[in-house]
Amino acid sequence: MFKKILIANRGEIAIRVHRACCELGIPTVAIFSEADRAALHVRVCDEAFCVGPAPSRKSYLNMDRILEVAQQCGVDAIHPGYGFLSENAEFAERCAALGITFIGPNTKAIRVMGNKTTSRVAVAEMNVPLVPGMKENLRDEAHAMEWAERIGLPLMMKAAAGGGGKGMRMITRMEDVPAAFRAARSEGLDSFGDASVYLERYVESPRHIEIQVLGDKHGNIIYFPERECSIQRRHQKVIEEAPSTIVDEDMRRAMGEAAVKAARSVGYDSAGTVEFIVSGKTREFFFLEMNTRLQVEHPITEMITGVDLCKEMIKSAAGDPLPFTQEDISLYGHAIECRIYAEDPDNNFLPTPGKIIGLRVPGGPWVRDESGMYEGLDVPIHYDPMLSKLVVWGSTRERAITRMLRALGEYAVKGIKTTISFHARVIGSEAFAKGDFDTHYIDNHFRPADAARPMPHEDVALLSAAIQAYRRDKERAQHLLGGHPDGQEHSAWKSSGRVR
Amino acid sequence: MTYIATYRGQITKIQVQESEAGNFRVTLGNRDYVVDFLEPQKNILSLIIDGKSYEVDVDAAANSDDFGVMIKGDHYEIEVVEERKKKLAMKLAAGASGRQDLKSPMAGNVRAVLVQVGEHVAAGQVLLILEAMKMQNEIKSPIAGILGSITAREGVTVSMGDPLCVVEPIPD
Repeated sequence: MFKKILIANRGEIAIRVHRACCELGIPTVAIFSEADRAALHVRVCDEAFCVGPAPSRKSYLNMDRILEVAQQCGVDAIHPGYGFLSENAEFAERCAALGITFIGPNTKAIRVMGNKTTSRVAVAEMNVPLVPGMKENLRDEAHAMEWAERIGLPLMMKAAAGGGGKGMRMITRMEDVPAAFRAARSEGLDSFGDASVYLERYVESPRHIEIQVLGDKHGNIIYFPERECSIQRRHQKVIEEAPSTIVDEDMRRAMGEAAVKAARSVGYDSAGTVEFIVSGKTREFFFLEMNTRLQVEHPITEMITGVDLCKEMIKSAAGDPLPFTQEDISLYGHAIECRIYAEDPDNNFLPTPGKIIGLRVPGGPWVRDESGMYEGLDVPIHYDPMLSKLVVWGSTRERAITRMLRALGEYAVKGIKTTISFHARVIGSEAFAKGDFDTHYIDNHFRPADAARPMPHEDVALLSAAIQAYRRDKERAQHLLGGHPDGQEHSAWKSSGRVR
Repeated sequence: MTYIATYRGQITKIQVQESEAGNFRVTLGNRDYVVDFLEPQKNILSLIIDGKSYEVDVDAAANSDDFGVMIKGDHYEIEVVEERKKKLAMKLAAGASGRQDLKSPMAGNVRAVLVQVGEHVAAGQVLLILEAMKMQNEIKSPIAGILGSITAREGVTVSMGDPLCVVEPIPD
């Protein structure tokens, strides 16, 4: 097993990885940017080093400095978490060159799966179903028109290096193809430094369902029950649950086996996730992409299977064979995760960085809070707005829902706006209870209705603001009159400190 | 003391009386409330009204009449102005109609300033770009006019409510 692990990340995921290391008896090294000196991960890890100024590219993405720290403190492995350097093949290679284990898959897997067109070619060879469309990149507008005719409307134009909803254009009319081609190219170049784009069929009423896989360095790969991640805003997941309401035992096995095949196509040897797009109408599933890292929503899989994925990922990187086989993985009950963001759900999800002046964390049975928050933390403006993940387990989906509503009710973050109450409204909605949603649910259906909802405590809000205004005005008036708010007479001598 | 509160464009007259320390009698329009009031932590209020307990966050910048109130995760942006001051402000506003003071809707970094002082701008034209937490936000001109002044500087961090720039209406 490793002697010491550097965690090349921040916030809640750095703490999650630290906890796994702690249970394995491995000391940890935190890295932080100048803006993150006060961050919780810096305080919980055993060692901590500053790796540069606030902007990510100068700190959390600064490979030279991170590797320098790694060598200085003599770590033998680096866990990249998610985001930042977690899917960066160059970083993995540079770790290897220094004799440091990158806790993730082999670099070929990172490279092939990191590009949508090369990954489509790789998994198609293993007969994994693909969204009908191209396995090469488009050359020019004429080439785009030719393929658009061949696949048929509606279409998606996608940046090959894309992700997170960027560099995607839906096309419903042939005459829009050239403009979508240009837009997706420039977005791909801007966001990912790669202008390659391709076309595929647009899947109607799409659901996003993914399969966690776990591989070791001995050729074993197993799959876990699916995660349903269709509740998204701006193509980013906000609520995930496991299992999905539309997947039955046969479909679960079919998706799991397809995911293992996709992983096998690149000799996958770590924790990873195969994402599928599923038609809500036909329940056909198609390979979307593979994320070659630990996923934000991994805890819901842990909750329904009892497997600590983060720990198993570290053990597998150290060369341990998987301690269980496919038959050992079974599914108990239901888990839901809400991503708590520092965003204003009533104002277009604008980020709300600032100081957390009060914090009350939910507890009680089967409630798990994966968080980087503490009372007094100043949430910086430089990084992802996710503050924490609230995860609950229930023996049935209904029980998980009522438990999540209870836990959200307990969760109080004061000083900045968060998405906590928004989650409660989504989870409490009729469509969610029925499992009747697709990836457009929040943006197209839920939000318009939510914006017009009556505010339940308007009078209390108004009178609170008025009382505070009154108290402020009273204090000011007393100041002007030279009196103290407590009624004592003001004394210049007293305030200058000569009389006690 | 009588205040005028504005919430979502709705105006409510509010009378506040401190009957004794920690106890307030508040009249909202024609509704009366007796409020048991405590501020156990700065900006966090514990209110008991008719036996019901509420925890309320109230945030207001110094010298601002804009209060940000949060109850059970819902946010209320409320302007509260003393009655006489409000009447005066309404008179003044009528005299200087159209001038737009653009304030930052969030804390962030000024990524780009796209206009210069004296420039004619169209309604909806993007004036500057703010960035926070990996998200870029365009600040657009609410009216057609002339850029009067710019306080925002590229690369400089602003807080929520900080002035960014002023758009003056085109003189007749």
